[in-house]
Amino acid sequence: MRIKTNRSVLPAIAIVMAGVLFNCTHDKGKITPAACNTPAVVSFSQDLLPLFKQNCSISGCHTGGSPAGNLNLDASVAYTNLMRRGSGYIDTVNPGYSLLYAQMISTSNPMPPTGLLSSCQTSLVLTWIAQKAKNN
Amino acid sequence: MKLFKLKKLLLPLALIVCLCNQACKKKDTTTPTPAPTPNGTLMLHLHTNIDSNEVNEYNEVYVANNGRKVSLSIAQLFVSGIQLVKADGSTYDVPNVNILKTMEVEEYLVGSVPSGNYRSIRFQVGLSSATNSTTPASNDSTLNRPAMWFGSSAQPLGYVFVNFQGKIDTSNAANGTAAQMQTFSYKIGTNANLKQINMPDQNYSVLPNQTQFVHITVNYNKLFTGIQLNNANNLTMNTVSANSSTLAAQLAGNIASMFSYEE
Repeated sequence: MRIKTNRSVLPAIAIVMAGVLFNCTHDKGKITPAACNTPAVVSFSQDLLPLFKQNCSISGCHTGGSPAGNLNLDASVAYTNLMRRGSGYIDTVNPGYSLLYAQMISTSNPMPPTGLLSSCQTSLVLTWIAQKAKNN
Repeated sequence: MKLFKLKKLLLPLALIVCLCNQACKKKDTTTPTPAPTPNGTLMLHLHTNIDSNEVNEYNEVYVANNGRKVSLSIAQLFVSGIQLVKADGSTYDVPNVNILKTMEVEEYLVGSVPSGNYRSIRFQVGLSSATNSTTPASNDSTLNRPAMWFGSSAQPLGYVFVNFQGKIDTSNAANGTAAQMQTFSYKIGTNANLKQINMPDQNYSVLPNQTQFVHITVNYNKLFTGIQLNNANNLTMNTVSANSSTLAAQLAGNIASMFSYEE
């Protein structure tokens, strides 16, 4: 008899508590994304160029003689083009102002146009800029 | 005995649960005080072009879409009176921003603007009549530019709104050689030639604490539209008095067509 009563009450408690937790989830703020494993020092050649190759310097986009936006991101010229004075692609003083980064996180006109890169990928770019955008 | 204890425990527990639920609901039903609209940063990315050619270097010869050769030695203009058109059609006037667009610089800060969805941008090429009659402070990096004055100082003649100089093939068939190109020099200004630019709709969103760019191409070759280039008199327009001529009206009338969204 005692055992029967305990079994009937405990699930009820569990359900009520779950309800409480569910009701309060809106107070918890955004769920943080999983850790990105961003390297301590982001490498342009090791970390960013593969990103560009996969998403940017593809046919019809930022590659070749007439690249979109006059920005060729082929591996051999990407760094020089991004660092072109006055272009605004990279702003190491205010990394968030950098066109390269701002365009990647833009919701209305994102680059690549096919969809936003993951927050880990854009964070990689922002970190590289904040680390003075070295040709490393 | 245990059952009694459990029942005893249930009552306060239920009470706590109710309180928690109420606390949560209270947050939902309370009318929040309207928070100020969070701002984001808006930038312009302005390209200097001769038709489809982006101008990266002065004095380099570019071939326009009609085959005519053009090179630039200076191409710069003032942008002011920036107004953002929100998605609902209402507008936001960006306060006190004057931009000197040069060939060398593409990125310009418009400023901190309310976040939200926008559908267009409007601005003026030139400077307001009030600004046009002021003397720039020595540390004003936008207005204190002798290349953008009609005289040896900004006053009393005012500012050059568009300074466009270089060389162009003036042959009728647009098939002249680079060596045959003639010098041209246009300085468009005066209050009468302040031009309003209303860009067509192209949605963009400014998110709180983020930077959004609006990309615009400035095609200087459009300034030549309708100009008889084989008439040497049409290749120079540099003074305030010349800015009331037919040529000035033609040139100034072409300004609006210079601007398009980057493709």
